[in-house]
Amino acid sequence: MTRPASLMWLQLPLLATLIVIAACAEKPKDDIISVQTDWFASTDHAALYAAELHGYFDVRNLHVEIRQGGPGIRAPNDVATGRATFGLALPENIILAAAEDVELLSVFASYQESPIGLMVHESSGVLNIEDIANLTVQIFPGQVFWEVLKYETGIAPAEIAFDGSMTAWAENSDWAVQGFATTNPFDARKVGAEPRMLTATQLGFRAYAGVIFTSQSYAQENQETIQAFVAALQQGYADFLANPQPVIEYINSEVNNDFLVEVGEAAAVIMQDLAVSQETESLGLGAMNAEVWNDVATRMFEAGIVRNEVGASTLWTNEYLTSRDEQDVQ
Amino acid sequence: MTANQAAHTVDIFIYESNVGHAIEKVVVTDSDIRSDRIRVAIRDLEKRFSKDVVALRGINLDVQEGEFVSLVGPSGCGKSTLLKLVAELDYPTSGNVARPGIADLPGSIGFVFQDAHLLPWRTVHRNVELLLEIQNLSVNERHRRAKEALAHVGLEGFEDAYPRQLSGGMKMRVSLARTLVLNPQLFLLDEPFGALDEITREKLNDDLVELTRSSGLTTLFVTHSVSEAVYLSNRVVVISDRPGTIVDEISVPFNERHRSLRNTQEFVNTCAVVTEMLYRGMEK
Amino acid sequence: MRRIFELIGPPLLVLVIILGLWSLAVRLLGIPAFVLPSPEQVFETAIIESDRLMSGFRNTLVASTVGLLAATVVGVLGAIILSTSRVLERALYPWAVVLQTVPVVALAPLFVLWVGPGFVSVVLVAFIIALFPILANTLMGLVSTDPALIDLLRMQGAGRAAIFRKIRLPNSLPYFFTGMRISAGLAVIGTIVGEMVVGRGGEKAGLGYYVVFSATQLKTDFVFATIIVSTGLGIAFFLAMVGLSSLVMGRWHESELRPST
Repeated sequence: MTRPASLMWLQLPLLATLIVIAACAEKPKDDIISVQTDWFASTDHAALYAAELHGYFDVRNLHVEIRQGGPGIRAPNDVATGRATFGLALPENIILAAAEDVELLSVFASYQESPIGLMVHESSGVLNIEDIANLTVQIFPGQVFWEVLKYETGIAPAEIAFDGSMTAWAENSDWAVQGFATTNPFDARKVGAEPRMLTATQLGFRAYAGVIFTSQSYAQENQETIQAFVAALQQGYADFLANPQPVIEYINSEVNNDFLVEVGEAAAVIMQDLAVSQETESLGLGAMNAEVWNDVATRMFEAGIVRNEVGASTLWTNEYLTSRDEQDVQ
Repeated sequence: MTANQAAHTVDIFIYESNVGHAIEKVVVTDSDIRSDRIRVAIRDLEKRFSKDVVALRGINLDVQEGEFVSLVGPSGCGKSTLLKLVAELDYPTSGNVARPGIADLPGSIGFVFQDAHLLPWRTVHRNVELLLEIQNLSVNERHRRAKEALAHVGLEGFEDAYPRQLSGGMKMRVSLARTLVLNPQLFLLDEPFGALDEITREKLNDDLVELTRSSGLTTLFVTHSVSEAVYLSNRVVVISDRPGTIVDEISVPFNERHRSLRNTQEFVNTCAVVTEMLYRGMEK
Repeated sequence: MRRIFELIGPPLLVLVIILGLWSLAVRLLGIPAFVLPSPEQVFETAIIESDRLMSGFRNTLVASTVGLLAATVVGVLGAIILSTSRVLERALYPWAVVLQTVPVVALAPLFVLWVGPGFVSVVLVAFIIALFPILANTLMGLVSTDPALIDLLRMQGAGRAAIFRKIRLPNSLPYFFTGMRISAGLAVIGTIVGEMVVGRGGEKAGLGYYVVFSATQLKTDFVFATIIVSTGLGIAFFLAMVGLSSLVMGRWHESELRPST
């Protein structure tokens, strides 16, 4: 399964209307913390489901309700309109939202390096962004990392809209397709292709991914809740990285039967690298830094993706994180 | 049916007559049939639409040259079907229809339907030309004849109008002109004025009398209106309820046709006789 | 001139009222721009993005036109073939109906596989979506002729060809144009949907591509601008068909006087 793609735009005009109506009607109940993810449940949301499975929300007296995403679901919109307390999305979306005057605050990054990128055929010998200039790229229109890289390198390969299916890509050895390093190479092998995954970082655009955020207004009034919530995420995520199997099986059996255990197992291996960095070593899982955020924001502005330069400093914080040392003390 | 097949029908018919084929309720004698004056000869005609639905049975009828014959009967009695059989638009289940002395070439029969059936995308003039186009006439000849026919039905000046701009009566005149332009030898009309208002209908009746009498056109006219039939015809043939058989017929004794005729006692009496025949046909 | 005003005046007034209410609602209710941008903002964005909107308009126009032309040719020929034989009509027409009910969007990935990405696939989506109304309506026009007229021509010795030329074909014209009016709009919709799913990016991107592009980047005002340009294209296609039908049919047909879908 690929994300955050497919058919969400089909409903967009309708959605806009509905949001107006629903925004007034459907507010989360005060004591329930709702979390809107970006796609159907998978290991990309492992921190959330691990905390749920192991009862880390419960021990902190947090009533958390995780809502799966899917086509047409757009977590930043839901959080901005108050229909969800927290959301999970790419940091690019937080910057895009800021450019539209929607102020969100990221408090936890599931991935230190985004697993999103392009998948090519091993046989194509493609290794870097310059090689991709000669391919046909099947990608979801408007994908930020790709628009930035194209702008910066000046490459203009043939492009077609990604329809969510790997079939066409599998048939064409000179195609590249958008994908997630965690799950899509596994899918590709299943249809008989020999894929090579080039993540956005490898192609020259490093960003976080699986960023969990809330609205600035909620953050101002619920510091303690966020503190507890993030602590539960960290604890759950650490458990998952140490022993992924129970969480994978939990997602598969209790949350989303379509998410296969074997896919989860393959993803968990890759996540060991993508989830951690120097920052997370010192500041704890989920940590971020100004350099990466500012870089992404600046490059998006320079590439013309956002019309106004967005100051990234207010869009994220590490203040709710607990470092491993602190955890040990507790 | 092609011209060859039609000719074949005539042959068979004459052959059968010659060997003295038994014909009941003969209206005319065999010698009459061979006479030059018979233009339509119907013998022992039966038409079934299915095993149980018999539209016409045992029809024997002759029409003389220049004669105006009306077929009157209740709705659904098969009088329209009879007209179609004469025009070879349909084929009898048994029996024969012959048209001795009438060419089997296309254009020898003029047929006018219940409604005007004009082409909405053509002007009045081009509508009248429609059937001539099939005959490979020169453009000039077509044009001349159409103009003439339109003048004949009193529609000069409406050549370039479109059907939707015309009244029901005018449309019917165009329909008449479209057929008259062919100079047909046999004129078949299937309740042409049924949908028109009374005054228009009477006006068209007078026109039709004028058109047919002046050219000596042999005419078969289907209607359910007794007074219309009596007014127009030399002879009125009454057809019974389904299965349609000929109940009786009456020769109309008038020479002149004029509006005032409708008010004469004789006209009223003739109508009464025809009406009586109609009742007989419905009670059978 | 006065007639034109009477024709477009009332809908124009409704448009102005809707835009006014829209603008007012956005201001008074404080609806955030990413949920519902004001019309002014949409207009402003349309100016800023005019290059992309123009090239998108051009690309979508070309693909829609090609798709509609292909659907017209195949639809009319198909209708003529089906009209010549009851057996053929009864054997093939149900499949034409089935074709109409196939979710074309779901076929798009297959088109990519079979005919390659981009233009051809997009045109194929437009073609398939636009085919049925033309086929069905033209067929109806060809077969729903006045039987009395056919009898009349047959009595004069007219063959099938003459009857076809003089009766069936002209009789089918208003039906054909009814089909064209429906299909013209559908061709644009099909193209845009095709572009969304399998459309080319970059210079060859159509409006459908930009709908997804702008939605991905949370630029709701750009989405609106794209939708408005797309709608404009659909209206242009519809009006082109109305114009064409009155050009061809002139004053003949009553149906021509009241354009309807």
